[in-house]
Amino acid sequence: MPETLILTRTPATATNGDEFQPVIDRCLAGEEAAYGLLYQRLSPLIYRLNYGLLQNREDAEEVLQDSFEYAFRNLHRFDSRKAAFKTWLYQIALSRCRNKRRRKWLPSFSLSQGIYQEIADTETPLPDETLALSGEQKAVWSALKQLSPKLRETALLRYYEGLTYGEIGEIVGVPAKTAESRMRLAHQELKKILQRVA
Amino acid sequence: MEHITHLLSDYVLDLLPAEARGQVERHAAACSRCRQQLQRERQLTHLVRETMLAAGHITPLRLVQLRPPLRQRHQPWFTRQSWQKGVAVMAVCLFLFVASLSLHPTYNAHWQNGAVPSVIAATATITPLPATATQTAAPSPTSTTPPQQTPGAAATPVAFLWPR
Ligand SMILES: [Zn+2]
Repeated sequence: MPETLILTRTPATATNGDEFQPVIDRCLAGEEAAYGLLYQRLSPLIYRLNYGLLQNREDAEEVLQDSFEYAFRNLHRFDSRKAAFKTWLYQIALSRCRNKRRRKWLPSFSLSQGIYQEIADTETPLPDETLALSGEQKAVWSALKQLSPKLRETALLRYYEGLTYGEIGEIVGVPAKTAESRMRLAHQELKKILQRVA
Repeated sequence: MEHITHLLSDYVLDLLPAEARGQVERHAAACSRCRQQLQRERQLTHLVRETMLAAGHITPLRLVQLRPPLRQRHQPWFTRQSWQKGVAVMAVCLFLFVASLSLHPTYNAHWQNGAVPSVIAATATITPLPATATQTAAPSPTSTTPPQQTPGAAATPVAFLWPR
């Protein structure tokens, strides 16, 4: 189970005073409003990460629900000495995004057209929900979609969340140095794609 | 003057040691070409961030609608919205039904006489199986077919066996 791995792995950056610890304590004491507070503060971040990774609104919403349901049910297992709460939650969401992507990809691969399906996906017209984006933003959105999943994960956590490479490594399950080289690659790839478009 | 173009990406990505950072800053202050290039690198970072914020926008109302129920934190997996889960449950149901027909001599005889009315009856007639199997065979959340009782078989509606 990926969740078990997540919970037992010792992360690179341990934090003692987690900003969410007081709220978590209130949750564990049975205060329902505290769960609402955690959800209110963190759900937009988790949703945006899911949507950036999956680029599908329905999937992103389902992963959001699953992630918080798991996190709330397993809140007693969260250890602030091992990881920041936000990092823990990102790990939970990321593993679900990966599972979702894998489940969607497998059927098309079994029809011996997996690779082509992926290529075709990048060429399909953007869904209506990106209509509100400017021309430049649409190009970036489409470029992000063309990154490999590994690079996209790192790029989103860095560009959007501004996380450190140590934190990114913790979340995606690689050493900080690997997160750094993935970020370098993602940045070069994005530049190349956008230059081609321009 | 030797340009530092090769260091600019690493600079904006915060991948340079302090000494090299200083080198980039000193050079960019004096070289307009590298300064412009640095500006472009920064813009890309900014643009990706803006795009994510704009594309991944979700209304507070929608977030509230998606919030998992707190009072039922142990909500069974089969009640969550997903048609694939429904199909999987139906498949398990069908498998258990067919398995029960081939194992149970009475059912076998009925089947050969054409007494079992339809496959849909599987959602309600899996009593001979152990309790764990019966729980797995929950009907699909999307199914609208009411459970049917097979005459002669002491069938128990599966719904009564669900933990509430
Ligand atoms: Zn220069």
